[in-house]
Amino acid sequence: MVVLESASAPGVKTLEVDGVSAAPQKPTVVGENMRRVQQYADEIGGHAYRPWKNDPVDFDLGMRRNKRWIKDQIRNGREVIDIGPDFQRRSATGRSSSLYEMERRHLDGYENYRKVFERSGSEGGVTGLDF
Amino acid sequence: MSQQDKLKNFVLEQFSDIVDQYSFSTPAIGEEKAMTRIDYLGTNLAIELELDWREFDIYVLIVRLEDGKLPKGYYVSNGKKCRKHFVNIVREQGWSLGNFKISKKIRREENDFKQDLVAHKALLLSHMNELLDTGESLFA
Repeated sequence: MVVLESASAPGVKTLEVDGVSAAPQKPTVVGENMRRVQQYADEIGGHAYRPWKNDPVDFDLGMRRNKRWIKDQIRNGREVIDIGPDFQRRSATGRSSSLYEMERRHLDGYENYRKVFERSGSEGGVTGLDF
Repeated sequence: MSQQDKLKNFVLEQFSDIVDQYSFSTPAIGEEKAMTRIDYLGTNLAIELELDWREFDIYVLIVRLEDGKLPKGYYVSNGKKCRKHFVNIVREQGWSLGNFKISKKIRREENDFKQDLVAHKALLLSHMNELLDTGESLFA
């Protein structure tokens, strides 16, 4: 399996299996706070996690589904772009998202993983998106 | 009625004071991916409640309106800051946090959601006059 970058659409990857090109793969965007993740994904033509309905909220079920999804992204060789923590939300609540932390743990060491955020202690984010 | 619908109703009931006493608009409710957004629009600012079902959490944000409408961007719109968490505004402005306290639990439950909501409401109402007096300059 070979991952090629499209000359006409930088950032969009094409999967080549046995010399045959499959449909281009949009990059996957991860980060804290799905609202900002979706905004960034929309801006770059990327793909974001779409949680299934979880009502009543079951923490373990939500975590299992999210874990399966991030493992699928890695298994499929997708480029994963990390827009990082929502520092403003963290400042407001004093806590981080365990779902995002789980995604980051799985992405640690993954070759097709790229961070696009800046961090300085407990502040930072993505220019134009967070500040 | 589902848990999320019940909680939405609870939130709307709790924040009805904003409409009755402070002349904000009746709430505009938006459903996004795993999130319900409730906006109360004023003249230049809006109060926005994010009910994040994925995190099972509630956030209170103040929004700088653009020509009386919600901005298209989330934290930034047209190159300018357009949303801030109200708690962060309180700290920035040096206003008192009083007894404000929210849960630090990771595995959150319905009671955590409700208790945090009540805490956010109390903090907001205790600074509503300062918020309205300061207005858009909160984003300067």
